[in-house]
Formats: sequence, structure tokens, C-alpha cells
Amino acid sequence: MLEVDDIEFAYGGSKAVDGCSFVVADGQVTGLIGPNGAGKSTLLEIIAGGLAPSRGRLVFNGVEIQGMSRAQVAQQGIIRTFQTTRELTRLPVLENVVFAAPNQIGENVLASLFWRRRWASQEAQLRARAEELLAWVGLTRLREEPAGTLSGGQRRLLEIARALMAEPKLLLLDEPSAGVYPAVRHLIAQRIREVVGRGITVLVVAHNMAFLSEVADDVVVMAEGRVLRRGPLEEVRADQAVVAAYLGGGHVGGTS
Amino acid sequence: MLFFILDLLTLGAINAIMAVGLNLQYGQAGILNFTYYTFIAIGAYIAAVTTLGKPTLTGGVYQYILQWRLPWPLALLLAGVVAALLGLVVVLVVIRRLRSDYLAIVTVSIGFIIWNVITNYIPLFNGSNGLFSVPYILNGATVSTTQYTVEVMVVSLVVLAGCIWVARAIFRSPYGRVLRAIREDDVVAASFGKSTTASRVWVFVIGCFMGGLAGAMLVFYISAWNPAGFLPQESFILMAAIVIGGPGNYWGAVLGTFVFIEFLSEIERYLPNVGNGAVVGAGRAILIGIFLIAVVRYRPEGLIPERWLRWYKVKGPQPGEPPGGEPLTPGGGSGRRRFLGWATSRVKG
Repeated sequence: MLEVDDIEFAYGGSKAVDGCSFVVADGQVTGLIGPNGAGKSTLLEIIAGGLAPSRGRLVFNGVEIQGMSRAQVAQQGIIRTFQTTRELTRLPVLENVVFAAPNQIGENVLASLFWRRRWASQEAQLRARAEELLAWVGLTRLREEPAGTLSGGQRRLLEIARALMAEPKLLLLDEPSAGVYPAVRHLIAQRIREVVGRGITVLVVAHNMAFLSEVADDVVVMAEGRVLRRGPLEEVRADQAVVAAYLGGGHVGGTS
Repeated sequence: MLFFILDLLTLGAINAIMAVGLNLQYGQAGILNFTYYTFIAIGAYIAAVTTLGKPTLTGGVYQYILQWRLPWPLALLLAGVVAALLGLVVVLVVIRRLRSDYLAIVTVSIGFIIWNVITNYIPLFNGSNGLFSVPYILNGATVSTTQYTVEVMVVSLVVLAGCIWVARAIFRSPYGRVLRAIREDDVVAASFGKSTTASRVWVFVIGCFMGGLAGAMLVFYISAWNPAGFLPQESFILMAAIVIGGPGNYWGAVLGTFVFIEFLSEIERYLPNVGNGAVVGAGRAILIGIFLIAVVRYRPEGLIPERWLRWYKVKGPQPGEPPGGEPLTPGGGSGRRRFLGWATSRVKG
């Protein structure tokens, strides 16, 4: 579905992503792991349209998406969450979710002013859908609070609800379990599995192995901007090269 | 005294039109436009030159473009349209590449450039001497000053009502939500496929249109306009009024202008004359400054916070809700109850 083909990106002189290639399989959760500085977040940013790669291709359902803007990538059906959660802090939780829905008639200026009837019924449906999603992540009671007042774990859940509101085909999750209480982490993992059950493909960056073993079908290990190993989590974890990369011992397959 | 109050209300209504327009740009979309008063000035100039007709003085001392003699409603509309077109040019130059603070600096520079062009290129709007004897609208030439003030007030209130209707429609619509999303975090807005540039361009143009209307009403009322009338600090004062009133909430913008532009500027007349006259004017600036600091420190959402405007219906908690945590802020309740709670706590404290 998403083919990452020989992507390269450098911040100034240092190559953050250096010829990275793998495929995100349809209807699966692919985990993306690796030590700090391996290039995971940069790669996610490139896929999401925030950075343009200096080399390589990204093919999503037959469409080349490298170099597209964020909005264009989103319109292709690729929706992301953020490593540091970025909710619309002064907007109520419910508005944070409704906002994400694609193809809203009332987002057109003229329609918003003069054709209220045209968008009002769609708005009602979207609100109902957003309420469902909030109930699904357990935030119903907070739906009128400004999103900035939520706790860390609640923000993670809100980001997932918001992303699903956008009806994604591919969901990019950047450390959805970082800094959350284990019970909430478990809830997040459950929700991600349910998402996949609905036919949505997921690419998830994570550090927590317990979390990954719950959610990921398959894991890609990155180190120093390249793919080091790929396979089921248990297999990859036992791999000597992966262990070395994490512990920073042998600098496997790299320079530095 | 009666005239004083009527004059205050009329100028207040005109200033409120400006505030509603700027509030769309800054309060809703987060565009820091520090040259908003330039668009008001353009509206004033266009309304003047399209109603003045041929210059009455000869000898090249009174010159301006167009020299039309249009009916005033048409001139009013044209003032809005020209201000909006200038806004479109400015926004297309600056918005694609610039984010908030840089945008603010660039708008200030653009304001200075336009101000200098108008002041120094005399054939445009008669340079620093400006335009005067702009015809009164309606039957203004034949009635008393007090009655004319009332007439302008009525027209201004009609225009203000129209602008508030537009602001309210935008606020409640999905388009308004996109603007607020851009204000909060434009990367997030783009990450959900929203067209951030087009949305901001539109709201900027609409805000400038309102500014043009306000400028036209102002020149119809005071019947003269020159570059001293739109010095750069005017934009700052207007921005301060919005921050104090409550950015994002059009009623806050209206309140802010009424209280902090009208009241404070007119109260000068009643202050005792200490030293020379400039002291009182400076006192106004100091008062606005102190108020701005106090509001930002103790009430950052402004006197009338945005959240008091409900843009969706409140429903009770639903049964069978899965666990997810408690609300972090206690209370809630309607805007008025929150306000009363806040006010009484101040009184008691």
C-alpha cells in the first residue's frame, strides 16, 4: 500500500534518513522502531508532507506522494498524530474532533455565509459521529472542555479520535504511548487494534516493547537512517544487530 | 452634553465596525495585522474622492483622483471593495511564506510604505493636507449637527449589524472552525487537509472590506480626512482594544472599542489640565497600556472570552459512558453564570 523507496533526507550536513526502503502492508499494524536519532520521526514527517526528501519515492496506492504538501497528503487519506500532542488548545474537545472531518461543505466561505441549510445537516451528522468517537476513547464527559486542559493520556486518546474522524486509509501514529499511564497505554493499544479491524492500515513509531507486542503485526527496525531488520517483534528483538544498535555498541551498518 | 453622548455613540458604532473586521482577522484567524488602520484610511479616501466631485479650489493646491460624485451608498460600497482589493494584494504578498510574528512586522512596514506614498504623492489624495468638505450624506447639509449625528449613528448601526451578522455566521460555521484551527496550530490544520492559505486570504479580505466601510462612515461623519488621521499607532490601539475586550468574540471587540477607544479618548476633555495639553493625551496612552497589561496578566481571554459564544448545543452526559477521566475544570455552566461567579468572587475577594 505505502511503498517507501530509497528515501533520503539531510538536516544540513547530517543525513537523518539515508536510503530507507520498506513497504507498509495493507490492513496491518507496522511498527517502526529504532534508537533515538535513527530517523523514525523524520521519515514520518516526510511521509506526512512536512519535509520533502532529497531522494527517493513514496508511492501510496499507486500515487507518488513525495514532495506533496501536508494538506495534499491528508487529502490522499494519510492522517497522522504527533509525537508531542498538538491539539487545538482553546477549542472544546468535541470541536477538535469534528474539525478533522474531510469534505465539509461549510468550510467554503460563501457556503458558510449564505447556504447554512446546505451544511447544517452534514454538521449534525458529523457531530453525532464525533460523539461516537469520543465515547469510544472515553472522553465524552470532557467534550466541552478546552482541549488544552486535558491530561497527557487524554490528549493521546483525543488525537486518535481526531485522526479517525478524518476517515484515513493510512494512519501514522508517532509514539502514541509515550508518557502515558500503563492502563491508558493498554486502552490505546486496544483502540489501535480495533482500527485495524475496520480495514485501516497503521504505521506506528514506538519505543515501548510491551506496547508494540500488543499492537504490531510486523516491525521495521531503523538505525542511522536505514532499515536494519524487518520481521515479527520477537524475532527482531533477539537479533544481535538490533541489540547492538540499541545499546550503541558496535555501530552496525553505519559510520559515525 | 446630549451632543457629547450622541457623538460618543456614533464614533463608537463606527469604531465597532472596525473592531469586528479586525477581530475576524486577529481573533478568529490569528493574523496579526498591525496595519489595519491603513485599510480604514483607504476606505475613507475612496468614499471622499467618489463623492466630492470636482475640486472647489483651483490652482493645483487641491487635487485628488477620480473626482466622482456618486450617491453615498455606492461610495460606501466602493470604499469597502477597494479596501478589500488592497487587502487581497497585501495578503497575497505576505501570507504564503510568513507566520504570525514575521507577518506582524511586515504588515507594519507595509503600513508605513502606504502612509508615505499617500502623504508625499499629492495628486493621489492631496498629500498631507488631505481631503476636506466631503459632502454630508442623507440630508446632512440642511439639518442641525445633532440631528446629523443621529442619522450617521443609525446608518453606522445598520452597517455594524450587517458586519456582526457576517462575523456571527462565520464564527458558527465550519469555515470559522477552520480559521480557529489555523489560529491554534496551522500545522495541524494542514495535516487534516484544510486549505490554510485560502482560508486566511478570505478572512483577511472580508476584514479589510469591513475596515473600508468603517472608514467611509467615518469620513461621511467628520467630512475630512488626512494622513494625520491614520498614524500607525491607531492600529495598535485598535488591536489593544480587541485584546482587552476578548479576541475571538465579536461582542468583546465591540465592548473593547466602546470602552477603551471612545470612552478614554473623550474623557480627556474632562480631565484637569495639568501642565501642557500633551500630558492628557499621553495619559490616555498610559491608561490603555496599563489596562492592556492588567488584562493580559489577570484575564488573558479578555473581558468577554470567546468560549462564552456557544457554537454548539450543550447536552447532558450520556449513559453507559466508558471510563476516561474526570473533567479537569470544575463547574462549567453557562457563560453568564461563569461571569457572575467571576464578578462576585472579585467583589468578595
